Amino acid sequence: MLQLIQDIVYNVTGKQGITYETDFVQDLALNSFDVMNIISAFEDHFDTTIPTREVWHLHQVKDVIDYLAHKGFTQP
Amino acid sequence: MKTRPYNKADYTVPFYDTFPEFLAGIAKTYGPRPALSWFTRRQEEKTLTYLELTQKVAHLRRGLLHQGLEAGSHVAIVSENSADWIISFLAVVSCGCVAVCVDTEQADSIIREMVCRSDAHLLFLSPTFLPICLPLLDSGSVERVILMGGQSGDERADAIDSLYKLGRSLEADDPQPPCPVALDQTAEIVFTSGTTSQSKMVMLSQKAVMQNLCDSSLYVYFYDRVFCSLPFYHAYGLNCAVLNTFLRGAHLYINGDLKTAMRDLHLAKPDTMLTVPLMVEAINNQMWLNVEKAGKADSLRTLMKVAALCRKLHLPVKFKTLEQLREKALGTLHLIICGGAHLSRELSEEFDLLGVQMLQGYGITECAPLISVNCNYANKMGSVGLPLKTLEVQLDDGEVCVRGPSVMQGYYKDPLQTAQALEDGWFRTGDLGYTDKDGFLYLTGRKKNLIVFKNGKKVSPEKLEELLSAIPMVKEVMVSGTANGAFADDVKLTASIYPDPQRCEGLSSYEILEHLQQEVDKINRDLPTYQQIQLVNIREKEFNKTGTKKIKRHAN
Repeated sequence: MLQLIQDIVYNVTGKQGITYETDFVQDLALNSFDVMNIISAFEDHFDTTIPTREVWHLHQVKDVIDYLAHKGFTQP
Repeated sequence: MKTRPYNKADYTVPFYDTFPEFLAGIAKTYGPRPALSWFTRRQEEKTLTYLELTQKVAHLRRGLLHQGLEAGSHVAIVSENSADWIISFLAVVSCGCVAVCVDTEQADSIIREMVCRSDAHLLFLSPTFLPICLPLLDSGSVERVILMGGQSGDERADAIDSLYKLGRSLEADDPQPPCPVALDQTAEIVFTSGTTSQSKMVMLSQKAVMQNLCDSSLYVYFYDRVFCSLPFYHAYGLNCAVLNTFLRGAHLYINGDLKTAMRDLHLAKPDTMLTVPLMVEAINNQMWLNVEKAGKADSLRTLMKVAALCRKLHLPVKFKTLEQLREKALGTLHLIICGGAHLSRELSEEFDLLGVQMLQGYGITECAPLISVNCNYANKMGSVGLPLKTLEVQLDDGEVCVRGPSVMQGYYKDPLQTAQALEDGWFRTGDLGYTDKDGFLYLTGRKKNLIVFKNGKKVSPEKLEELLSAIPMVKEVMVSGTANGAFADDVKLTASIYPDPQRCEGLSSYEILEHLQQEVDKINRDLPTYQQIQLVNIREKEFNKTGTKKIKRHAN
């Protein structure tokens, strides 16, 4: 799953070196538009919808992994 | 696409004084033309013509009036961008009621507080905001909620479709014209930017909004297909993008979710876009990322330099590579109107070389909102354009002050703040600037203490400081926007904290920072992304203060 996130973040923003603890805003200096584009890529990949107001709570890479696991997506 | 006009006389549009006149005018003038389109999740395009749009407005208005909506009532809209948002808004303002445009990017509690402070008793809600606002119905703060788009499964909410149906049957039996409204009737209540309930409620009259639209049409020409992902609850998105597009009879493509903004931009194939610097930069970054991945970044940079030289020497900029790049990254887009925050000159120039005209404008909610804008035929990069014809603009000790028919009526239920903001009809913007010999306005900074982001959002540092001060370990705190990134206006929110020495006794600096970061993370959880504190600094000394013990913001 981490590899998938690394690929999506790189494709959308060009940023590399993602770990489980990476914070999208604080560590990668992404803005709200970048974060939304990353989430949109997850939605497309898993054919699911992540409500915009829930995106606020996804700060770190591990938050995304936990969120997806909660929705039943554990494999890339 | 129409050819780019260079003569003002080529694009005159009608002037209206009130929303009922506006609706009757656009229905009559543009009837069968496409007015509004959007894409579903499955990328299906849905469209309403001007006739269909104005008929839906008439049906909804009739249904509301039939069920007892009285002129002057406040009606709040709490929803993401959607066709129903626009139709509800137009129905409300065309029957002499006041549309309260609620900022949906706020925390749940702030949204409820905004609705209560505005005295709205009727709410239009999207499914997302139904559970957030239903407690208002339970507590009796609002009398009725109407659900837009979707089934609530909750019998307390009425479906908007039933109102359309009711209005349609009433109109079929006995059609009625829109209600007459007075020019000084308040049409919109729009919230100023802020982080908490302290955001002010700006009252804009029917005449103020219409005047602002009509004035801007003298300067800015839109092409046929306009794309807008700006939130409608801000005056920029609503008045400048939505209503201005309808005034001109163009075809508006709307997007209701930042997540699908880029997708919809490509699907819509617009020739005009109204946006904020954040999106322009995102498009630019994506374009360069793709070029770098293809290993062509160096050659493109060289080509850009050659193209810039051609432009400087007034030679035509015609390079096939640049045209191909524009087509790939921007499709048919040829005009971008950018406002809400400062746009770097370098970006404007880069887009210009790609064949996309970038018009920077300047506005503030209290002025409905446009104050100045560059023209298709007279564009000075780096400036925010010419002040609108009916506005007087003066510089008082460098501060931009504005007077004219599109200035607000005041802040709702706040005579004190209104008196401070308006003096003899002059509104003090808090922005510093100057004009050049041709009358173009340039902005140089802000007098008011607001942090402005590239998405046009503004944050009052005092309100974040209030939240942070509640952390027991914090003795003093100052929030500021610190430089972040390639451009001077890239900012990130930084909290400088002087920890309480008593509470920190025996703790290492690392432990203090770790504790504070955990507390800040908790606060961030309830804030939209752009309002989150991104950096925490610890100070070893107290802040320098004024005689009244206020922290000196610029001396620390």
